[in-house]
Amino acid sequence: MPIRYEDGIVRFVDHCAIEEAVELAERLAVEPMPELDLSECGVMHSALFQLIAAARPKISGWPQEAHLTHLLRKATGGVTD
Amino acid sequence: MTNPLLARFIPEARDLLESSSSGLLALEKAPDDARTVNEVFRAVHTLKGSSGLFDAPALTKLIHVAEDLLGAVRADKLALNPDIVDDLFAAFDQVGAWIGYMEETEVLPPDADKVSGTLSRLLRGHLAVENSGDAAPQTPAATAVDPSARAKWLALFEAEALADARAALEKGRPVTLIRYAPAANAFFCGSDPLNLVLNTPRLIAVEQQPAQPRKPLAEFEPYQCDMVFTALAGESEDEVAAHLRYEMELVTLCALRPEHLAAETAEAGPAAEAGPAATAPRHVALARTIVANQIRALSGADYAAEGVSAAASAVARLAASLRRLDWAGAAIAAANEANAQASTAPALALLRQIDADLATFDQTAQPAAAPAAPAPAPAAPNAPRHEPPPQTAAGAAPADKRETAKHEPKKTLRVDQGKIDLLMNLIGEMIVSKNSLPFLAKRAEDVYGSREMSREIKDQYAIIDRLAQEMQAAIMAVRMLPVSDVFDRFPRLVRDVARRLGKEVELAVEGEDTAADKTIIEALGDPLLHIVRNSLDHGVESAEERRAAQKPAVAALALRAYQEADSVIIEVEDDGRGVDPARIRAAAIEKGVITPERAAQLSDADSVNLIFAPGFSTAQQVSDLSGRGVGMDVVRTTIEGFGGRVHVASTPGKGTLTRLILPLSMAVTRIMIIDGAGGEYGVPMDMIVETVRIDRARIHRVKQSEAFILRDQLIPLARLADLLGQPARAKAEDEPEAVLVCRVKGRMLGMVIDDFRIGMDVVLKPMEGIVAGARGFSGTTLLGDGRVLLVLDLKELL
Repeated sequence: MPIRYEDGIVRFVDHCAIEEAVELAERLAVEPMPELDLSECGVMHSALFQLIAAARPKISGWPQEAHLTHLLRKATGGVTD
Repeated sequence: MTNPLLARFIPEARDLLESSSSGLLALEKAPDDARTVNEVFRAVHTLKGSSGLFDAPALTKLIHVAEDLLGAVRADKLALNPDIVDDLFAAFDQVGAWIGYMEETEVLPPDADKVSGTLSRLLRGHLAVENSGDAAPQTPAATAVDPSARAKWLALFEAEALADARAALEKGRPVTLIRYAPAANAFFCGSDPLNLVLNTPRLIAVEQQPAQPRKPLAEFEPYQCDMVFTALAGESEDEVAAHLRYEMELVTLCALRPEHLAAETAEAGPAAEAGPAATAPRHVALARTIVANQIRALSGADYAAEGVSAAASAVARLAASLRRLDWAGAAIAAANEANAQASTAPALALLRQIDADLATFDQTAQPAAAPAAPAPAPAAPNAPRHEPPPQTAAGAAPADKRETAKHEPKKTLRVDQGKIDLLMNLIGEMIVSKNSLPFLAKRAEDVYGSREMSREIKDQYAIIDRLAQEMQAAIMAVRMLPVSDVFDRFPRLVRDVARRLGKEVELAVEGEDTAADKTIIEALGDPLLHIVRNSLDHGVESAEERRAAQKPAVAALALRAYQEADSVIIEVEDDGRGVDPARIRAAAIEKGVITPERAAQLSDADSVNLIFAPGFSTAQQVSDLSGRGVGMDVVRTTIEGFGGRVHVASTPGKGTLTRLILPLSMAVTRIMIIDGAGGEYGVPMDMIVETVRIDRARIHRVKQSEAFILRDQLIPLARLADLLGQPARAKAEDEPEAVLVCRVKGRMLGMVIDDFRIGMDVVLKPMEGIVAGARGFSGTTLLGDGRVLLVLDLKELL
């Protein structure tokens, strides 16, 4: 599974495709909202990005891709470097 | 072609394009015909699917947009009008041209992406107009970027990004500003806009905003694409366009110049933050906001079913995300009650209750890893239409596919024409050899004196004869095509040409089921094209001219096909100004086609047919449609090359009728062998109505001609011996005359012969070599015993 759901944390690994969107939406709807670790995320489908932008979870690790990180930071209200 | 898949795709694509075009044409006339809409949609859909197998994104994309447009028509969201049809035709034509190009080179021409983008934008334009009432923001399909939009977009970037762009420009490298607004259904089309943008070559910076105000997670549709990208790339516009070629019609590109950046950054000052830095969302807070909004909406308005159901579905969604399924049930109950009472009170009561619950919502009571809800909350009874759960949409697709499968055309097998031709030749030979069996039977009896043997051979012959005939019919049927194959392109052609000439023409097609041999059908196309164009260009008058002549403003053009004996007749008839024989004669003399002396002897009807003479054209000016002085000459040469004839009849002021007479098939003909005029001859069976023997006393002489009465009908008689200039066989006075009653040019005629013989299937060979000029014969054939039989052409003889 490219997205791993652990206790209170959601890890994105490698290529995360649109198939994950529904489950991610459900997981993010849980209180307290889990943290996201994107540090191992290679590619993130637009649908997942949108969900993250809508849910604005706490992000503990940012992707390697600079542009993606920039977009995520802005969309989630996180601090820009 | 090395790619077998592509080789199979090309003819299939052509067929699909053809059926799309003809369907579209029918649709223009009857826009409400749901079946035709479905057919066209299905054809385009199939084409899109198959084209996806090849590296032809521009083609796939264009078909895709056409499909979207047709989809909107199918869903009654868009009304077809001639402009849309024109654009769709243009798209189909372009796809046809590409397919032709791919057949040669296996790839698309280099400018395909650009052309595809332009055409797609054109098609999308129709969709956008129709959607303008919707809330969905559509990026205007503009090729030129207006400066204020550019300034606004540039203002979205960080100062550093703009500095990078400026640096690149200063080094003389191109910088392109990209604005990309993916369609809301982008995910369903398999595109991933975010990664498309992130993979843009030499991406300098990218910004993203939601297309609509971002909804809270509870109302968020995970499968609706809701993002707009603005990006800077250190590449030329063309390179970027190539990268974004699948989405070109949703993308606006602008090649930046240094002054753009200088001016705009000065105005915009420090780069503005895209969105307000919000605090981390808290679900309960969001839920309370939603509930508060719904309360406000409901209490501020009178009862309306839509309002209540919107509130109910909002609550249902909340319930799903907060794991309070009891609320979902309550929402449905409240909505039902509200609808029953026609009052918002029950719904409001529930909302206030939920609001109170939320205030004391115990977050810790909810297990952190709650089991996933089995499904989205049950939809409210009359949930609003604009929120179909994605699952339903996805589930509906296969059902739709199953339905379309039922309408799939019959299975066909594509076979190389050479193989069919070989079969045709073989069956021809077989029929000829089969014909030798009766001779063998006769020999068994005459030479070897065995009647029994003779009878057995005849029995066997009867079986082989039947089988050979069935086989021949079957092979013929394979080669037979309906004339609709040629006729189908004319509705479109007539429409286009008439529109271009500013004339109004109604085309009527009759007898498109008439079948003829493939070679004949294929040969028909070009001549017919010339004739129809001629009719439209020269024959049909403009609407004003027609009104002045007291004719209906809309001209009638008829395309007819029917079978007559061994021929297929194609007629093109218009009710235009007709052909003036005097003008034709004068023009023919002037062009040296005919001498004045001969012209004077020509009847009006014959004069009209001078238009088929080589080098003849009466067009006062050469148009791009017809009138280059080659058309009608080519028509005659082609038709005659296939053993056909062409004839024009015209009444000035009333119209023109062009008739093409073509052999039905180049294959086997059934003939009757007859005795007469000192030899044996064949007569095509389908000319013969019946055979009778009459007493000489029943033959009446009217001056030079003879006639007899058959069932109260006077039938003129001709003697074969006289027709061929041969001596007749001497007959006894009381011997009855054998008369072959034939139908020639629609008239009944009797031909006196010596005797009737058997019927026979033969492969008719045309008269060639030194006998080519012999009149009265349509061809020769080989008999089973090796003799040559001449087959009479009754039309010419009688």
